[in-house]
Amino acid sequence: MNHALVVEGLTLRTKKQTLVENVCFELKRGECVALVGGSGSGKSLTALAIMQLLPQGVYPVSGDIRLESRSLFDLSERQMQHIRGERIGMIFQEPMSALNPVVCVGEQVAEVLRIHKAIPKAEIKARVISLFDEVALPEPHERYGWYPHQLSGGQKQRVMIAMALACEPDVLIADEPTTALDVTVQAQVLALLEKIKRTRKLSILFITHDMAVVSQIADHVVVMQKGHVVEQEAVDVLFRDPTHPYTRQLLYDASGRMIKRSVHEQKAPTVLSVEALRVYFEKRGMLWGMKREVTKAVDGIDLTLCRGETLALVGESGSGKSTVAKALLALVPFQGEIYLGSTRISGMGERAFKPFRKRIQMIFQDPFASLDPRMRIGDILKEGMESLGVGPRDKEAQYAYLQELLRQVELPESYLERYAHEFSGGERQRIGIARALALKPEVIICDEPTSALDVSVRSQILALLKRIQEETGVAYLFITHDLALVPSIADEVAVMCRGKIVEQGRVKRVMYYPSHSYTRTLLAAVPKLPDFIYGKEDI
Amino acid sequence: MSLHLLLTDILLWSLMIGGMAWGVYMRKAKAGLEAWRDIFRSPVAMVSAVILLFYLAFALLDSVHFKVNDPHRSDSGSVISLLDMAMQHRRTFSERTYSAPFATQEYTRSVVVDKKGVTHQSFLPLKHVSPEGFWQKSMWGMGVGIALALLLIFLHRRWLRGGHERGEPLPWRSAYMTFAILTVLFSWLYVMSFSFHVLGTDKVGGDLFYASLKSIRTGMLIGTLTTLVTLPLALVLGVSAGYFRGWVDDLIQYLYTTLSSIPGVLLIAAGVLTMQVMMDQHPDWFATTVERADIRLLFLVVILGVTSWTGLCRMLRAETLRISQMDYVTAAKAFGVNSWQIMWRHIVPNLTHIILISIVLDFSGLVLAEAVLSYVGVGVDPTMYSWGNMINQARLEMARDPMVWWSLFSAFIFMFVLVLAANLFSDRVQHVLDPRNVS
Repeated sequence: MNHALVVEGLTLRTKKQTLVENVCFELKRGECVALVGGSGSGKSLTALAIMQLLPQGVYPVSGDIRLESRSLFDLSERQMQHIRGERIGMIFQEPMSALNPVVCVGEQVAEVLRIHKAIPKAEIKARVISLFDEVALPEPHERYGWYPHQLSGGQKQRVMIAMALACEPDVLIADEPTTALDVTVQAQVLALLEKIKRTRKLSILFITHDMAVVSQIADHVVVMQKGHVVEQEAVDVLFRDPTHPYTRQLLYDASGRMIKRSVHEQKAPTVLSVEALRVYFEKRGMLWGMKREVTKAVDGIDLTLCRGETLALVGESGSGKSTVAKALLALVPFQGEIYLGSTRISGMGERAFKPFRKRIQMIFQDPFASLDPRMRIGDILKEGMESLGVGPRDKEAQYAYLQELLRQVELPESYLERYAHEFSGGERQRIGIARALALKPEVIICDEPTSALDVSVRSQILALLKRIQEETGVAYLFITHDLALVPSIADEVAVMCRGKIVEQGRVKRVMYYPSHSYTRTLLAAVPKLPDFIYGKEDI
Repeated sequence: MSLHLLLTDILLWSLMIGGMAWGVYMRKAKAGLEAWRDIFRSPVAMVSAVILLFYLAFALLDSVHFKVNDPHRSDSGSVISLLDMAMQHRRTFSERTYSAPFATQEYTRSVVVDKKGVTHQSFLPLKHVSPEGFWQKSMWGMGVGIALALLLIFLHRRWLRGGHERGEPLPWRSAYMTFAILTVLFSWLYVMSFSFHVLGTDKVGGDLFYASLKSIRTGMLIGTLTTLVTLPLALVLGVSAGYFRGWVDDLIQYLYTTLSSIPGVLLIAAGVLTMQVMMDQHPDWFATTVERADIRLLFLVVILGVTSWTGLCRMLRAETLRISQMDYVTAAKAFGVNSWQIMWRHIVPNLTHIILISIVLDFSGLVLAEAVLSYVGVGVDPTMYSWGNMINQARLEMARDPMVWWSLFSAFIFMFVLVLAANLFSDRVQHVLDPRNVS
């Protein structure tokens, strides 16, 4: 028996529509199959169907899923409970919500063992500790009694993996296990999965949207689009010779080569400069703050941004990069000097700063949280204009101005009367961009504007930002955690670590000749597509 | 007769007009309209809404008061409402004592001395009852009810066909059924009330059907007007606490924690007793007993409101804390929009679902609270008709033998139907409007 898991002609439906149609693939023993696709492609549903954990209202109409020649659809719920955990393990995207916050992590893993295996009580703890050791959790003895909130995101994901491996399953389903993690942590988790696969002869079904991750971990790739499998192939064949246009598009978008940046010869004038910016947060203690704790979110950084250029501010979560954005907009109290053009805007009161607000604007990460659900798009766009007195006052001229804005971000003019919930993530992000553009700013701070979007939508948004920059000469401060993105979007890059900038310079220099060890670690951790992808020109 | 609106009349009507204006305004917002249609898509909600509207109609009918100026009338100088006029036959003439529903004679024997001078005990006949022709009258009452219901349903259908029906059809059938049943039932009861005491009479011979109908206004007033007091308090304090944080938050939190740690009934009793002393010292403030009872009701509403805003305030504060962290609020700050405008344009509109849910949820609680408070003796004026007062009087009637069950029964049925309808409706409102329930 060579196949650990076979999915045959799986079709999933709700009452109204077919979500997954005729999906077939096989998972060999000791092999990693990557299930790749954009959001809504049905990859997660396929995984849930294997676990027989489909959400209410979704049911399989045809097809079969076999675990070593036993059909999972024939099993009762009771038998299925034995399969889950014992034969098939699963890890999720959000380790924070998958662990129970009030039970210590060791007990949570031990519980799995107790349910499925008849192991003497005394041995269970030893087994859990050896599992923690296997997933490279530091000091496994001590970690046994820790609670989830005491662990970092990567460590929590390791606990989840330990839990999934506890009963020595044959198949591990990993649903975007590294998407919520920082790059360096992602690299460690991927390496761990790779090691476990080899030592345990484990079959892994790895669900992801990231082609670079696929190239690192998978042996075989199944590409899904809108509920259909469009292509499946061994990994090196697929990357060398993708046949389906969607696969090509995915690879093309992932390579990030679509945007060519022209190199500026002469130095453009500076629009924004920051000197020794510090943001300290004081934690209020009990009752009128007897004891104060100080968190140094940003600890003395210098930045310079030139007209028409993009400065990428790169760092892992918690490095303080979003706090820099808030300080630049004077939304948090800070120390240090900020110059907009030649005017010193730090130390101004809110009233004195208001006229300068229109010159510096922001685009947000989460397109679902950045638009007020109770306002029409037209009102959202108008808000800043009315508050800061930009654009025409007269109603008709204003309407024309708003229509022009939507045209600029490539949206139909009819959207003005509609509400945000009617739009997709990409469209919402365009509205967010239009809102910032409405004020004709000199600087736009982009706070991870693409990290919540699908790969294909991401490249469209990046292309749009680029076009706007060429047309208007606006400067971007582009905050991101994704180093792979930097060469295609930025002229200059600053790497931030624990509130300080460790390295800063032209993109080419920093990306290819990094001088600081942290930059090198970051660069090494970025999952890369095989080199030949970058060599090919005519995809 | 001249129009003589009481303070609570004005408040109730302005609340109605305000509600309607808000409804018209909401028609423009497509998302809001869709949510409301979604609420009524459930037959249970539709039935409950029809029942609530029925109650509301009685309350509104009872909230248009006139002063009788005609010196020839026995009740000259008193203040009566439209409902009183319709029930004139049961308002002014009362029996001597208890009588069961549809009875023709009194419930207890009385000592009678007949013409010959012999005393004996017998059940005296009721004075204002005409038992002949029971079936004809019943047929007539129900016939009128059916005709009226059919006419109104027919008119409504015509109106719908005239292009007012949009999107998925609503469960109108359930609404029509409920409406028809209620109309037939009440028109029968009304016609019969001319010849009988349909729900019996109380200790002093007052008609209980009339008392129950009059109590509707009291219950509805307390349920709706109290929100007028709680809502501004809870909204202003909750949103300021959540938005400004720091010492403002500390202060407001301190205020509502203190307030909510004092037992509610104690606070209300203290408030009501203080107010009563004040009213006793100034008898010249009120021209009639109706006005006096009305002012007392208003005071009760204010006291209930002031003591019951803390729950909603806490919820609004928590939600404001969450919303003020949203990126769209950050964006508004980056536009230099001032705090008041951010609160008004971004925070309050996003709190509407919580406000609506809590208004409809609190309604039934307040109706019940009135009953409990009147039972304890710190509720509405004893001269005012209310379910709480009816239950309070029924306390002793349940203990006597033979038992008088009908006054408790009528208060219970009227209150039960109202509270049940309100609860079922609020369940649906919560289900539809609470974003956590979106599947």
